[in-house]
Amino acid sequence: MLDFGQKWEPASFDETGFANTDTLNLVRAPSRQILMVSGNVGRGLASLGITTHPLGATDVIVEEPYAVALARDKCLAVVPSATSVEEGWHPDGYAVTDATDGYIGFDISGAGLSGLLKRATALDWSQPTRSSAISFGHATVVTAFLRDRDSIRLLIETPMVPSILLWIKTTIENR
Amino acid sequence: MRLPSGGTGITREKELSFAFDGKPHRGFEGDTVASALLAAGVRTVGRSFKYHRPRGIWGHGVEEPNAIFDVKLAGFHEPNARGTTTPLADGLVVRSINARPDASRDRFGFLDRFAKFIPAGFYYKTFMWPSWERFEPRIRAMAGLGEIDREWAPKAFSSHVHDTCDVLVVGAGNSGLRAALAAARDGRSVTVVDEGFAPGGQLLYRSRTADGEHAEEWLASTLAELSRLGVTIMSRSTAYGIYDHNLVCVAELKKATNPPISHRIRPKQIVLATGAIERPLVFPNNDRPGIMSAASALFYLRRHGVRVGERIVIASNNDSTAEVAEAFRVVGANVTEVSSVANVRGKNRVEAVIDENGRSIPADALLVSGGYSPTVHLFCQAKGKLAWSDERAAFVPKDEVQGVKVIGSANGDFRWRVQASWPTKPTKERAWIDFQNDVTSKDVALAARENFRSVEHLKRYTTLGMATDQGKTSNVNGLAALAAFTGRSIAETGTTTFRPPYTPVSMMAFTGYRHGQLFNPVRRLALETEHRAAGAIFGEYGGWLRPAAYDRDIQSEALRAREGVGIFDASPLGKVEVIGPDAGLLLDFNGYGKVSTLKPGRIRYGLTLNENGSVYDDGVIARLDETRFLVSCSSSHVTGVHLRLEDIRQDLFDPTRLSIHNATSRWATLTVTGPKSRSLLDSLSLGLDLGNEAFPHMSWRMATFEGGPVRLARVSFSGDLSFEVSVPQSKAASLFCALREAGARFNATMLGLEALMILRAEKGYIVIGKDTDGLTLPHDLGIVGPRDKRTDEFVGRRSLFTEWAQEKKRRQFTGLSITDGGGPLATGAHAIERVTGKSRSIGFVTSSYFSPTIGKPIALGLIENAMERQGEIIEMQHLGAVRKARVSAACAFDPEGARLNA
Repeated sequence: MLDFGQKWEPASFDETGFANTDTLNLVRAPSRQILMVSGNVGRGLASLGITTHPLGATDVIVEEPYAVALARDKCLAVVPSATSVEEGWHPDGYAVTDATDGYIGFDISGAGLSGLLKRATALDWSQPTRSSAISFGHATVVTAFLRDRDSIRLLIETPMVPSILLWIKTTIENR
Repeated sequence: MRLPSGGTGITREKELSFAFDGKPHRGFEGDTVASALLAAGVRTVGRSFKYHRPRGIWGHGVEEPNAIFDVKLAGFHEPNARGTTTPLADGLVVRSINARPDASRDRFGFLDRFAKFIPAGFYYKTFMWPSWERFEPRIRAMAGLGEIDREWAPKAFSSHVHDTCDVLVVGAGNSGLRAALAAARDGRSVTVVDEGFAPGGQLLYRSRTADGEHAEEWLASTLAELSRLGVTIMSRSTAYGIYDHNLVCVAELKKATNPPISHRIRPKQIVLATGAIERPLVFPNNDRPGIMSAASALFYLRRHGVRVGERIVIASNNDSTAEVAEAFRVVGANVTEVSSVANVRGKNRVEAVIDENGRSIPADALLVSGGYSPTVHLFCQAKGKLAWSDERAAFVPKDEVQGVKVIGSANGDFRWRVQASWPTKPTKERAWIDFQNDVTSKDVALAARENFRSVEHLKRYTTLGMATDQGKTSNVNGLAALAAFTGRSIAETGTTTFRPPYTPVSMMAFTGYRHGQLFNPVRRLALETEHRAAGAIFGEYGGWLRPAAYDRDIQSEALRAREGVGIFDASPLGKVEVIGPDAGLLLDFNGYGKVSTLKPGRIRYGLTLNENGSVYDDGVIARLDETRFLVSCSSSHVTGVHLRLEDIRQDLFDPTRLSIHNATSRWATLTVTGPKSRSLLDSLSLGLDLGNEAFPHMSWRMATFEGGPVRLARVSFSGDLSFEVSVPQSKAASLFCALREAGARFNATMLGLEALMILRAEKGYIVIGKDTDGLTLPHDLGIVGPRDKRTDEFVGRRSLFTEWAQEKKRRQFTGLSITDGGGPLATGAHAIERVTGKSRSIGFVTSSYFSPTIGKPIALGLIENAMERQGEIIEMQHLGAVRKARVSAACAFDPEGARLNA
């Protein structure tokens, strides 16, 4: 029987050392609870203490908690860990599902960020976008800027983390 | 030869050494391989594709048809590199292609003497007996371009870079730079891409701009201003294709030892200032080394300080060569100008030129200019149409294309006057039209004679304009010849279709990072490290890397789980939540079976169908509460099921009363299966009564594991007592360790997917796509209840009542018992029926294993009318061998389901 474990290098979900270069710095984002909220997003987010609209990929995370838009009526709310929330349907017309372990967050900063983003996505970063779920490398990744847009946060679906990290590593090696 | 001074493109202080065909040569920084070879006096740089005729350098850019080399430098290898666009580097190893042992002494040179036997399309008519395949390898070995080095492993890969700008100017010549300047002064973001080593185009070697200004001064001041205005200028960058919505793909060569960077630029406006390519003149033996483009000779003189000959003849049908003649006279060459050439003397190099009056002019170089062809490939790729211009003797852009503007020579705005001269009849001696593909005017005449009158047919029949050349120098001459030979005008004859890439681009530019681990990345399990430590053998299943087995004896692994307890990683199974007041109704519509009647805490198995009624997926649905369901679908169908549910929500239901959440990535699921599974789980102290009454088959419960939630579902794919235990990914390793530790007392075995396949086959459980195909309807699986009883609408319902759906001879799912005492049937083996001496397939085996539990082979299949054939012995045929099997119940083990409900 062919062992594809030989073909695929062991998966790493948190190895970021390769990306600590002069121009790029990749670190795990602080651990937070992530909730998928959909339906009447405004009411759902308000119940979590989030009063701003869900952010798009070109927006900036100004404060926590915050939400990033996945679709017109669906978002991920990033809230302090152990926020008490009832999963399921709420009478106010929204649904909540805990997605905390479904995503792993990474922050990328440095002068090489712009070059990395040009390689990662076809998005025109000068045009505002309502969605934060973009094609990044070879997978859909949820993104938003931090601070003065000198840093970006990626929320990557957990099973895709090893390949996205490898993609970033390959990009650094081929600049 | 290299002149003692001059050459604005080279740095004489920096000498470089390189090898060509094994011989050492020297050049300067700024040289190309072509300029260095010309400087070294090397005339024959390659052999022609078919006839192995000696060939010299024709051009100075991407239009070069002859100087194609195999290039190696510091571990980097590029076959079919153009000498004219390959920068010289210290230690560069260059070999001519299609020549053995080298270009000057090619042993296949004799083929030219047999030219009359191998004209265009000879392979359609000859070498047919005894079979073409016998000759093809040898013919291919004698003809062609470079070879890939199979041992070579790239050290770097091509990046794909996405860019945007207001204006993209393709071509940094006179027109392109003026356009860039105007746009930049207007405040727009501008990017200029150009194939040359430096921006300037003809300004780099012509003395005056189109407006009569001093070229060098104008260029310097313009580049300085463009720089101040922030214009990006990318040299050595080929715009090789325009695609939908004016996406322009550009290959940028930055380092000699790296593949190109592939830019995908989305500009608001494209300006094509791609210039024009000088055409050859068509006369006998016009391919001899020493015959080259007049403009290119001037280029080598001015940029590289190379004088291509001492006794130069210039033949031209336009006035662009006046400056060429003057420039070569200035550097001491003996220049003779003629208006046409009748023939050329000399075999491996030009020795004399015969003019139209029969006069023989001694010469070592013949510079020709047959007019200019606007470079309109990109315009045509952008859906632009061309019109023939007699005045310019060229095809020029006709109508404007939205977002694309063509300017300068590319638009036919030449400053030269052209007196067209086309081939009117095939000459006695061969006259070349396409140097790269060895196509002569005789070949075009042959094609016309054989009624290949369309230019597209001419191209395929003769190979004119094919390969890396794409007709840059040959296209217009070729179709002019076809027009003449078929009695039509050039406009009536038309052009071939220009498809990208216009200029060859390394395949690595297209593949980018898509190689090795990034070729087709798989999803990874949170527990992969633990599975590796447990000795897992992995396989790729539905886009995931999953343990296929932990024991190469899969039967033993399955048996251990059947007799004791097995632990299986089921994390990839879909976990799509359907939430909202209408969730039950949506799932009723989506599925074959009704779900809205399910009680919270309970689970139901169900199928989903396509609109044509065939089975799309199966899985279990758990009702989490009144308004929340969890759909567990096949791991390879997660995205499809999610999108399908979302489609139905948005199009057919009130979306404000429904939400679809894909929570698959959040959970890790470990299935504990086997008679001892309850005991094993009991030992984990989950605080849950796992007894049959409190927790019956097809129900689910929540519990706590290490302070977090754990969801247990009592469902089974093995046919044994089973529990699916799901925890958030971050707790997966803890759960795995706890189960392994507790499992040690029960001799728990790790269970891979392959062993699970045996267990489910023993029970007759289907795998969608393996035991079903695109034609399988639910009643073919024996599931008829919803079809017969449901009165409400659901996806696929109407298709279940068509004539086709109710045919008697439908292939139905069944078990197959082996009656001949042999081993397992081959998966895919056909069941056959013999009618009047002829055999006919009546179905096939979908799954087949040796069952360790039963101790004999088992099989599942789709067999015509299997329900009525139960007990019948049928013949199974595979690769000529015929065996016997009995059509039997699909479930071969525990048909009462006692173990499930234990």
